[in-house]
Amino acid sequence: MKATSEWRDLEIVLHYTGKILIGFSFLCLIPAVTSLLFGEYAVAVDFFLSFGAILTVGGTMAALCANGRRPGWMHGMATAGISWIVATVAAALPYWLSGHYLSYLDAMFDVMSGLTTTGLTLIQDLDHVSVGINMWRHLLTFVGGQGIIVLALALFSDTTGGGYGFYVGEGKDERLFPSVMHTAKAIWRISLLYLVIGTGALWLAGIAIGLTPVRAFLHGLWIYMADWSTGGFAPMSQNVLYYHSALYEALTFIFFMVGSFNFALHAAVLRGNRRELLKNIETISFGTTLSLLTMLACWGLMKLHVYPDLIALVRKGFYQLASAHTTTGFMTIYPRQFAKEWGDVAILAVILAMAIGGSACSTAGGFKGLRVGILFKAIIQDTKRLLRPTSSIVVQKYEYHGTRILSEQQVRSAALIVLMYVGIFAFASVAGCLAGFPLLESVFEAASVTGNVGLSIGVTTASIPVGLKLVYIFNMWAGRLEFMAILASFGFLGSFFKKRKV
Amino acid sequence: MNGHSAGRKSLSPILPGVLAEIAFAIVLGLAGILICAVAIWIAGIS
Repeated sequence: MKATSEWRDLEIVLHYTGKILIGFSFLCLIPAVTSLLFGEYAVAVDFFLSFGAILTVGGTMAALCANGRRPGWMHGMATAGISWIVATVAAALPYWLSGHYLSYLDAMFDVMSGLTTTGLTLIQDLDHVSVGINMWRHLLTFVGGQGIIVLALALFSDTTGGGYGFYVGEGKDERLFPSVMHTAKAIWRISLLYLVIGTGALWLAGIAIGLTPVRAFLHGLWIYMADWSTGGFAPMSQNVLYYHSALYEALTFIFFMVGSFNFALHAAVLRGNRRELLKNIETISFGTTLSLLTMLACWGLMKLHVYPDLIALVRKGFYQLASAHTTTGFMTIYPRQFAKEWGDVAILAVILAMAIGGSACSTAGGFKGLRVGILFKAIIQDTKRLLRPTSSIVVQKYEYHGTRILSEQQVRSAALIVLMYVGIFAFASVAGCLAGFPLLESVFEAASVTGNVGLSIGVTTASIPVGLKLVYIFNMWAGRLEFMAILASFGFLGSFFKKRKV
Repeated sequence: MNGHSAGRKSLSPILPGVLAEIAFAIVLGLAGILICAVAIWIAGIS
């Protein structure tokens, strides 16, 4: 039978999805070896079994669908969208085998939460999870922060043909270098550089607060992985509150702040252009909204006398707000304290912070400071147009790795993405209300999943309805990939089945 | 030097850059602490 063009397109997408699965399967070896080192032989078997299963499926897909054609832009975008779902199903296998999840869907929820750097979890008995499973949880969030496609691009040299499509499909659109593969490698170099610095600092802090050196190292490594990736996972159910340490909180604050910066900004600063930190539209936008929302949260918290002294206000109020704004999701309070103590004004500040999020082309979520900055500049431009003669031309400039002129296309693109974020945020809010949760709690949790944050007001537990879990999984996926790859995937599959029917 | 080789320029020296990013994060933290301090002060006098 002669292959049709739509079959050949599908083969390309499945071939590269298979390759990404092959790369993913090798990640299972890290927790497998860790489990062996700590004598967790049953857990190690789970990971070796998962390695074999994922490698077999990925290898079969890559081999059966190899047709020698190079991927184009459309294939890259569709592969990005589809591979995140396939990887989520595959990576849930070790979780499910561990016995810490009530269903395979719960395990998939946690994988999607990890890969998208959200940080919400449905795991059972987190405080007694094996070292191997904890390594897998934090490894997923670390890899997800950089991007599973970015990892594949850094590893596989023959995807450069349509590489930019893969890269953009994963929600990153800044090239650090002319070659997308060098960009992917640079992203990993920056992340690994900070991995050494961050783990070292948190290791010493862990020893200082009384953890044994080995435990301090593991906690330092895991917390750092979630910290840099603005993920929010932690090895203990109390999250960062478990450590009761101002030093630990200060260090996590520094690294989630730095982690929320744009990779292009990291590259510019590390190359010596340190002034970019002060004049970039994204850092200015982030600093402004962080300050304004801190004021709003403080006003709400002080009005209710929640935290009467400066230390408590900083360690509980400001830390939570900064964690929300960078979309990290680390918590130094219990989830129900939001609902029972914080009051509407402070919660509103946190919801707004979660919606705005961190920087574009970073590990952070939300609709991003860059788009807030662009839309703000567009409002200024339109206001100037109103005030000046109709014949005059208003040029609006902004600083973003050099001086740029604001274009209608940039404004349209930013507005559309913000609009789509608001759309799926409203969808998840309605779903929460339909599941029986109060409006404010539904909105809070919806902002958290859509912005890939991970702060919880207590809604997300294993007992929520299956429908709400599916909505949250979809929102985490769509929020992380910023819609383009999702739309391309649906369009690609829709077009494939439509042509097959004809 | 063509564009491609310029793109391969190394990220070194990186230490001042790392310190600059950490310092910037600390400044953002200090700004937050300042806002909290002002909030406490205003609450105290009102």
